[in-house]
Amino acid sequence: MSKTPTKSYYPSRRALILTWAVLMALTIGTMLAGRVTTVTTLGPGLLAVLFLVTWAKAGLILRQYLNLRTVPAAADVMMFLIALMLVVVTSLYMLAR
Amino acid sequence: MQHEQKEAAPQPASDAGETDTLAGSWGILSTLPGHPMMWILIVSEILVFGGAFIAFAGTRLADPELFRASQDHLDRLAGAINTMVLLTSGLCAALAVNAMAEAKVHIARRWLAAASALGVVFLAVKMVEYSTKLGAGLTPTANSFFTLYYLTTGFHALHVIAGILILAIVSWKASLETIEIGTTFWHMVDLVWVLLFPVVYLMR
Repeated sequence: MSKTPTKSYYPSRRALILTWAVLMALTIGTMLAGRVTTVTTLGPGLLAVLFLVTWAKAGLILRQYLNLRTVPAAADVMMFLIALMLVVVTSLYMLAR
Repeated sequence: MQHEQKEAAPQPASDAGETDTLAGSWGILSTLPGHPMMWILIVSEILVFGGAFIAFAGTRLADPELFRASQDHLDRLAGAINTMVLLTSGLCAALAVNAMAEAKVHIARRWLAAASALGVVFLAVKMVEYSTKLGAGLTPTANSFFTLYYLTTGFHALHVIAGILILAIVSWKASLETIEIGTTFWHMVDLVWVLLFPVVYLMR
């Protein structure tokens, strides 16, 4: 019970709040790229931006909220899995044009 | 209260040898934060939802016009607001682990309560969305888009409900290990929504 607290194992409060702020900014980026208030079709450029922003948000959740920064190899595997899924989905959307 | 604080092991849950004697038998998975079983669940859930998103995009190929027209009935702004709500609840959950790592049980419980409350807000927004759609006759049987829309978002909403229950349980049985495991599930729910929102609501 007397082990020294290993605060550095978990992200600091400051890091978590910064992560949240970046996630909020990226969500606004998602809203802009996804034209949330407009009835329109998204071009390949905007679809690519959506893909990248979504992937970046997933990365922040995995590395900071889920603390996978402590196991970078696992974070990389998860990021690869998510990228693969997003590539397939985006490709199918492009094919439907 | 002092008693409760003594329960809190202020080191990574995975380092607390007495808390999980099975941890060593998980091999490489035992290096992951929280419990290895939760990570097996997370990967499974991502694969299940990933499969659903691919099915969604694949079905769209058969009738892109129907999907485009149906998608325009969705409330994208509500979806975006719900993204912010869940991301904020994720912050609260992460801060609960942070507080527990410092043996601040009461503060950890407050953060868990805040995360759960935001989960309820998410569900309330979702219910408003559903009732508007159902009121307009856009039921799960309206067309293939709405069948998949209700399936994916409904399945996710069930995970939110399960997550709120899990957060309540780990708040009651508070230790660093239980809170880390419970919040890991909550972040998974968060992560799935971050992927679901652009695929179902925005890509068109």
